[in-house]
Amino acid sequence: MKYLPLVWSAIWRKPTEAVLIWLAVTASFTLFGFMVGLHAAYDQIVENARMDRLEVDSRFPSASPVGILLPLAARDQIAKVEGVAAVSSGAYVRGYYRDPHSSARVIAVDEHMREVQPEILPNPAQWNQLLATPMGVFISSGLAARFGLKAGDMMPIITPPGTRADGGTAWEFLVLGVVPKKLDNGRFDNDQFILGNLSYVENTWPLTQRGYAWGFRVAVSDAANANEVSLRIDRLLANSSTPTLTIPDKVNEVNAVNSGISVASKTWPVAGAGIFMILLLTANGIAQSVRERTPEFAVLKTLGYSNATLMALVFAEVAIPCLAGAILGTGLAALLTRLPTHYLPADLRDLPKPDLSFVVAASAVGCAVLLALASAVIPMRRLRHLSVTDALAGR
Amino acid sequence: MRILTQTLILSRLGFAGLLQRKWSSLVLVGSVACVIGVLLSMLSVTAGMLRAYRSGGDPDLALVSSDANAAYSNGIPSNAIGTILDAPGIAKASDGHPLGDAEFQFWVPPTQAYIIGSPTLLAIGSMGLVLRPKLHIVAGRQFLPGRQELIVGVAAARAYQLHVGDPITLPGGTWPIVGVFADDGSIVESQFLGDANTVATATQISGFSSVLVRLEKPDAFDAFSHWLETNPALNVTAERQSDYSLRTVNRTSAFFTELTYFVGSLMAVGALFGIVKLMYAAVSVRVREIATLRAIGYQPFPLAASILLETVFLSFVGAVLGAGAAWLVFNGRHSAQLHEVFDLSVSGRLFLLGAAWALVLAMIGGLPPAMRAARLPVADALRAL
Repeated sequence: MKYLPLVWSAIWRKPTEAVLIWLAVTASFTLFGFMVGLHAAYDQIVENARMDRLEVDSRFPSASPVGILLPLAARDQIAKVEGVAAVSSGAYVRGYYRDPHSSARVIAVDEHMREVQPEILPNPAQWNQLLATPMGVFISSGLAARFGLKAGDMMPIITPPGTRADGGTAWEFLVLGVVPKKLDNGRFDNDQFILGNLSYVENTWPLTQRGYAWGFRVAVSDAANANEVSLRIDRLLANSSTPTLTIPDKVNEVNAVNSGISVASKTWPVAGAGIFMILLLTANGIAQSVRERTPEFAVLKTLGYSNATLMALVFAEVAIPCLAGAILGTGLAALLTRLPTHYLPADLRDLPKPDLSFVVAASAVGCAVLLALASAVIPMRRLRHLSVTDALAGR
Repeated sequence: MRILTQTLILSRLGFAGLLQRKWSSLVLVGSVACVIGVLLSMLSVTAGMLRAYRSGGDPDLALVSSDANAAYSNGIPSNAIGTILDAPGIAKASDGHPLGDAEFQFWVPPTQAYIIGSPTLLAIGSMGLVLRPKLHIVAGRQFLPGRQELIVGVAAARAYQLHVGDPITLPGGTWPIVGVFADDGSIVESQFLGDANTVATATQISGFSSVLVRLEKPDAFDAFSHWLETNPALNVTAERQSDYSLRTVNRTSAFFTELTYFVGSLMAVGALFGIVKLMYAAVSVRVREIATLRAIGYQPFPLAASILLETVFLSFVGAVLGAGAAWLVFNGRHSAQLHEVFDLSVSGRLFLLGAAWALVLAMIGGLPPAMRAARLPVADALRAL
């Protein structure tokens, strides 16, 4: 600690250059924090997805104008498949609430959903309430706040023509309660969660559409068998009029993260390139500083400073701006991710929100220390072999 | 004129000194190379996708679709096709038939579970191959109309490991792959091709998602488009194929392009501070030299210009290295997406973009040090020695 003034004055020898290096380090660590945070967010998505939940969809796109339909009767067949614990049918009511731009989607489920995915609603009484109230819905807190809805409100959803047997386009729903969002997969803007009753939806649809689900949700008794159970379900219905495609949620998320233009695979290389760029700068800065102050170090050596102390001084001189930059940069990245999403370009809102957890901050600090070490290694060697007499003589 | 001569002389002096300042010069080059390298590597994805979509698309081709989301909607009813092909400006085949083809796409789920991605099936009609003159079979044979069989593009065959003879499960049963085709690197190479009527029967899909036509000449587009869009019997829009490609690519890659520019900008900010720092250092090393030059009559402006030129030069070297590295590593590399397979491309346009970024970085980063050099108080600087 007593050497701090020495290091401090060395850093501020050339104030402009010191500030510029520090700013450059900060910018790079903002990028580092953002990229590593993004990677952590993707990991989190996969981590959160469950292997013991399966999604059963129609294998082939259907020609039906309302979507991909599976006969409700298939639910009972799937329920008998070995390893299946529970099966729930689901369908959507897609439309908008008040303003055509505020789209709303009601996920209508049957009574088996409470066995498949009980945690959607926080307590069993809410399940009872939902299943006892045909028009009732539970709505996620984010969406409730956006629509300005609370328990007891009516929520009319306007749908395209042809979705109701009576020829109307307005669906009346009653908000039973607001629940913390649970279908959360960590992505921006995914608070669109309204849970309703399939029986009500089924009984309101045009006759031709009744008896079909848009998909099934399956709970598997043992996650280790999820892949095998998926194949069993698909094989069971392979020769039916509606073959299925069954995928465990976790596999689905892994595919989603790695398909398309995979951002997850590019986060670490980009973060690395940013750090390498800054390594060039800090290494050059400290090398130049040590070169210019060779006589100073020679004096310190003459005064009895050990090689180790001198090396520590050099390390500290480069480590302080690196650490300061890492901390500020990670902070800035965290600030960036907290910007309200409407400041983001629309296309970026679908990216998962970078997760700037303690681990990410710690890896930034660790990276800053490594950066400082790598920068200081050459000047440190130079100091070890410094010949005091030559340096003092100005040779 | 004198300013120009002075700038040249001063620049030569500056460049001659680069060797003495080799480490800081190399750091500047390296920083810019990092920025441009990352930027172009990431943009090579979008550029490659765009190249694949545009490849084979000549200015005579236009696409008619029923709404903005052409590929999967099947929104053009079969009975509207005849009317669409009556539109003015469509080129005629030698037998007098209009060169237009009603097509639709069908997503083919992976045969084996858990494989990421699978090709889509492009169902084409009798003119589909005439409109794609570069398309040719490289293995097996062409599919026959009326038979339940498919051919697969070389890119899809490679990415999803499909071979001639493999069975593909479709709603009507299993269809064999009878051939592999190439189409000059176009996006069709990442799809299956099959006969539209046969596929429609098997999948019970009625209606088409698009009509591809060859126009008599590119100028015929406006009249063609106007005729279609004002026809009360039709509910379609026409687009040049190049516009359609751009829109399709943007739909899936706009987010990535935005992310790339965000990442590139952050790196550029870091590099910018670095450039200012390095050039300040370069000026401060040369204080004695600069003061002397000023004392013997060199003007401040040529001096500043020579320092800017030096920054631009180093930055350009960095850009060339960065772009070169991106080209070496990524150009031509195969990229398999969910339904699209294409080669990444570090195109000439991207090289220019890299050069533009390097120029801007150098101009902004070199300006403060250049101004400092120009404003150096000569007497003080000489006295300080």
